[in-house]
Amino acid sequence: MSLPPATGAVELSSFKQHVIRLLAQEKRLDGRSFDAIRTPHILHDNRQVTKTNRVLASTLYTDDTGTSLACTVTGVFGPPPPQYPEEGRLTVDVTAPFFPSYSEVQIEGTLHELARFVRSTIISCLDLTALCVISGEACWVLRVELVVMNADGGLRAAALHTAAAALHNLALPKARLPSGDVVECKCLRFHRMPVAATIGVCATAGELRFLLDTNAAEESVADGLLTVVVDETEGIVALVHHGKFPLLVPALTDAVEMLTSRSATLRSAILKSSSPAAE
Amino acid sequence: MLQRCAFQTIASPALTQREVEFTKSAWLAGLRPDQRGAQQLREVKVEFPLLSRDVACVRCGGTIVTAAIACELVEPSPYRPKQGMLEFSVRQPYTERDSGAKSRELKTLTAFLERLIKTGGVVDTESLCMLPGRRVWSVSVDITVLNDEGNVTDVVVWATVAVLLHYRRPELTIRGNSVIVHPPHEREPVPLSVHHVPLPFSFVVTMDPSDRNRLSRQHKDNKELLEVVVDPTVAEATAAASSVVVAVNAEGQVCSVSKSEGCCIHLNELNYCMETAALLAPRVLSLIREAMAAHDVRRQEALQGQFLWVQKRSGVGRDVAVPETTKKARVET
Repeated sequence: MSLPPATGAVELSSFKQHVIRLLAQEKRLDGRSFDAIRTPHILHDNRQVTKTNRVLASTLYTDDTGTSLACTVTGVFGPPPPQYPEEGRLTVDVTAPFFPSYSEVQIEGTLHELARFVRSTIISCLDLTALCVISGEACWVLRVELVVMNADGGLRAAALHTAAAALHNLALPKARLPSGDVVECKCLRFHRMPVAATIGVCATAGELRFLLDTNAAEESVADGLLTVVVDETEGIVALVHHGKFPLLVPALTDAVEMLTSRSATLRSAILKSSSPAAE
Repeated sequence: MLQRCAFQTIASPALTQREVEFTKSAWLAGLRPDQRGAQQLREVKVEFPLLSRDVACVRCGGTIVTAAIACELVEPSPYRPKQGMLEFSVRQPYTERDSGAKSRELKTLTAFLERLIKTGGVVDTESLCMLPGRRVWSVSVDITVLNDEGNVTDVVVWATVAVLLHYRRPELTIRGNSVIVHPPHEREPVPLSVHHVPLPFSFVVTMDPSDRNRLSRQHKDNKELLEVVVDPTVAEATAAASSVVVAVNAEGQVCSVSKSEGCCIHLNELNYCMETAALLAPRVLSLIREAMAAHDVRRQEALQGQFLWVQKRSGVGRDVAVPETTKKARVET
């Protein structure tokens, strides 16, 4: 589950060989150590003007190597889903307009899976009954639109952080239903805050090495990829592991604990950025 | 709040709520609604219903899935001229109880199959290449879910794995630019190159850890609460708080872990899931191997029966049984 790395004028196979040689020398392309995380920077758009277009929140995610995602949350009233009449609705759409068109079908599949992953993880951490206005009749319909402007690996984690920062402390405004009833303001809150990272597995000379927070070049050469999402109590919110390299149980446990020990730094970076900025 | 672990909705909301309450009461008492153990699968049957090797049928309790495979020589993709194609499609007949989200769930199941078998490197796609850039094998697997009583994800992959292991593609002879496809009676067909066999197992976590702690303080019995159960039925999947799918191969290595919705799980529960899957995978794989061997025996018997019939029909070896009138007539002439 990776978008192809942007290698510029360098051939992709030569780039992969270069990355493999660096990893054999225990180096990474951007000079990080194997267990370092790229710190995210999340900007919020708190201007009042944008809220007149039903835009409830707008965030921009960047990190040090140039991954850039924009997230816009819009909300309207709508009927609740028939299977769950006491819950609201949440839809996630991911688009990537700036990628080359030769792998369009593959990118579409990747983005669909990414949207599904982000939605299911947010539903695990957010109580959708907070979006219910009248049980069985009216609810908030939140639409999260993620635009991938530049991707450098770890796309699941970046998309999840962007959407979580936008939805945390989201203020649902005071509004009027078509029937004339007035709905009061409500603040959306996560009952657990997810942080995610992609962990790459490299089997060099029979020894397993874990790369925390891989970039696109490392994802193209890694033997296995693991996406782990944890919360404050070190519980596993989501776990996705599909790769050519089967892992033994202790290796998987070590990979999860590698993220758990560094999740506090990531969570503080996301929560610090998501507090309302005084302008 | 009902979780979304179940694929389909039971007949009416009142019955759903009643089943959910009964299932949760059974879990509190340390039992399952159908009296299975926590690590016990339903009865699994693997069979190959036709004489040909390209259809497999797997039953797990009331869940029935058939997988059919076909291959064809096609021109490869220009970006990957040395790799064959592997395609999956999952279908299920609709009933009036199915919701509109059924097609989305089947697409999710197809994506899971592609990630597990195609991306996981189960079938060597480079061995499907015959002439680089011109002729490769395109293998397509069509899976039909005939009945759904929970745990469709596992049974779909078991059926796919069984049909990939058992299938034989035709032998080819390549001379220069010409490709000769030999029918099965000329040359023996060739099995597909399968690297490893991932077998997934679905687990559901019965309740939230905080709820479990509170309930264990209320009920101070000696009975233990069921925490993680394998092979959930529809009622159990609806009542559960979370679900995990773990795929292991025959050597006990974890090929895939997928935990998406519901409450959090902890590392000890995840380790329990992976160890239970490592215990159950050799059993399911031995069932598949036994079904393959039984099918080979059945094919041999059918072939011998056909050969005996041909012998009887054409009169081979019947010289001593020539009627006397015919012999007498021949002597007279």
